[in-house]
Amino acid sequence: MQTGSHHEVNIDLILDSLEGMERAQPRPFLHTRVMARMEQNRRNPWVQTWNFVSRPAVSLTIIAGLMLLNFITLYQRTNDRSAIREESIASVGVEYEAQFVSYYAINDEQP
Amino acid sequence: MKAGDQTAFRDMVEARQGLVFNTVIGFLQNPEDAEDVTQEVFIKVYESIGQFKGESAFTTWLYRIAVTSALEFLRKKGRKKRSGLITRLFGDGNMPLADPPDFVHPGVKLDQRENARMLFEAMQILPENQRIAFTLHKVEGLSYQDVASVMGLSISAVESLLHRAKQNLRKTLEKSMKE
Repeated sequence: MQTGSHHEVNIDLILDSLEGMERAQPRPFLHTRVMARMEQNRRNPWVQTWNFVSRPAVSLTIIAGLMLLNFITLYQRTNDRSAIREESIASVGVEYEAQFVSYYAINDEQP
Repeated sequence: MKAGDQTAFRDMVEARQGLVFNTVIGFLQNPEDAEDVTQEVFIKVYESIGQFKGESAFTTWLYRIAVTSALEFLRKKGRKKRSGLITRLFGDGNMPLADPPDFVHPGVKLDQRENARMLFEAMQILPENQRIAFTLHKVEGLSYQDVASVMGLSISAVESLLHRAKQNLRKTLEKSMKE
């Protein structure tokens, strides 16, 4: 079993293990593969669509449009609801008036 | 290059491919994925060179794109792994849940390979900012000043990140040695 100080030494060695390392290099002809991939992307309609939609101006316009649509729907619903409420109050009023028979009317008395 | 000069772009790729690949492989720890993301980085550079305003050095801008792309790739891979776990739990998916923990950076000295393998494994569980600072400083060999420029932080903030990264790595390594 390793002692605590031995562990310390090992950990220091591990932490220093990247000293003097060299840069990793990609496989040769990377530029050719990059150009081929760009050409492939150009032909792919999904990539084209995504590139168009992901532009800040386009995505912001879409978000703003959706929010506007949301507000319009909300506004219309609120208006509809208040119109229905007014209508129902009016109908209750009419109904109440029709059903309301005064005590004086029943007994044919003067107030 | 801003004028769409193909020769200038090719020269830039050839001059900076090591910088981008080495940075990306430091995060992804997989040569195939690193190659894939390196290509993506250069495509992004080609497509967004017009947005480069020259407020920072071109290399700093390139490092930022490389780091962001590498982290984006890791996030996507994490999501795929999580969905893979669900597939494994409820289906017959054969997708491995984690990369095999035997990555050895090709630039590491031969006698340091085992130690470097352990270090790279421990680096995977560092918090994102500490991981960025540590990778740029140790793998790519950037100075504190350069790391600060890439991350948009002060030098003292980078020093603090690196100090905490080392503490966390020490704890992780101690734990793995005791097991």
